Amino acid sequence: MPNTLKLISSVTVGAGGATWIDFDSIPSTYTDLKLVLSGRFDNTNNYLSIKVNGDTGLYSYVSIELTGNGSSAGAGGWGTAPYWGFGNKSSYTSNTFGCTEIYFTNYAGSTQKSAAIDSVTENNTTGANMLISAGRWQSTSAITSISVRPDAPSNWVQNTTAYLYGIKNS
Amino acid sequence: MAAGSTYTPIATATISSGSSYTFSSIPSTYTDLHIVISNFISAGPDDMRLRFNGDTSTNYSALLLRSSGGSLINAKDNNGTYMAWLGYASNGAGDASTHRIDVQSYANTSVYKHVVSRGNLSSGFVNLTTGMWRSTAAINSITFIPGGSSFAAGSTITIYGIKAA
Repeated sequence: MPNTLKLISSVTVGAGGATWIDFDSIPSTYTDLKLVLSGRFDNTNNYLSIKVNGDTGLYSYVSIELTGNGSSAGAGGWGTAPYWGFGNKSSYTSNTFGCTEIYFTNYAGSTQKSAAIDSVTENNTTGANMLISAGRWQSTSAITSISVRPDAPSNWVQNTTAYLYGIKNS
Repeated sequence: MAAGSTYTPIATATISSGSSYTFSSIPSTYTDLHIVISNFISAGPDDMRLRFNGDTSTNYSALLLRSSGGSLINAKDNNGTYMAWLGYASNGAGDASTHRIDVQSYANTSVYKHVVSRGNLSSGFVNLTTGMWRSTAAINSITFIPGGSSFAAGSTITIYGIKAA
């Protein structure tokens, strides 16, 4: 019986927080990758940033997004920043965490790496965000590492969790 | 007791051409279907469409919310001969689309079939679409149709079955 959705690795942020959450040495044996993140920032920035295979080139990442914040919807995108989702800001209701899923198809293939990004935050007052986004890492290399951080100067707080799953289509 | 596998690949295809592709003989033994598409088309961008069980009658509807990066679009399609706007794809080199489509209770013969789709094309559009097939028949085939175009090399489609218990 196939074990299609398999946990590759997990991270739970401890006391003291963390700047980056890193998944290294990702095996090439799956078809797709799914990163599920429950995150809170220690500052008031909005976005989380992604880094694939250590690539910090701002032009390496593009995205188109659809956002809503409870009072208005927005259409936008990024061509010079790796902003792929939100996290709960430090000003949001205490002990609440945002939820982000990043899904890469054919991550070990030889084409540029496309991703589906869904991200929400929640706040028991005005001001929360949700986002759906189409992202792409403009490299034909197989993905071997993924790192995520809150946009500087924020860091992840304790109890932020991240799970990386491999999905095999046979 | 060993844990069961609740997320099982039913069928997968690598497609390099053709104006449509059909998966047949979908078993009725799962609860929901989850479909993952990564595709290119020969000319675009254009939308991905589907039909169930070969039904070409006006039994489909869809509701779309879409961002093109600079503008928001919402639209409704009624009495269509296919379910439209499940995602967009292009012929741009390296610019594969990524769509994920959920069909819940696909084998339930008491209900019409409801679809939720997240379509992603990073050079063009991000979609959230919900669709309906007004039939209570269990789904046993799905035909994918690139709108106004053909599949191109590098396209893959996988159908997973999800069992509730």
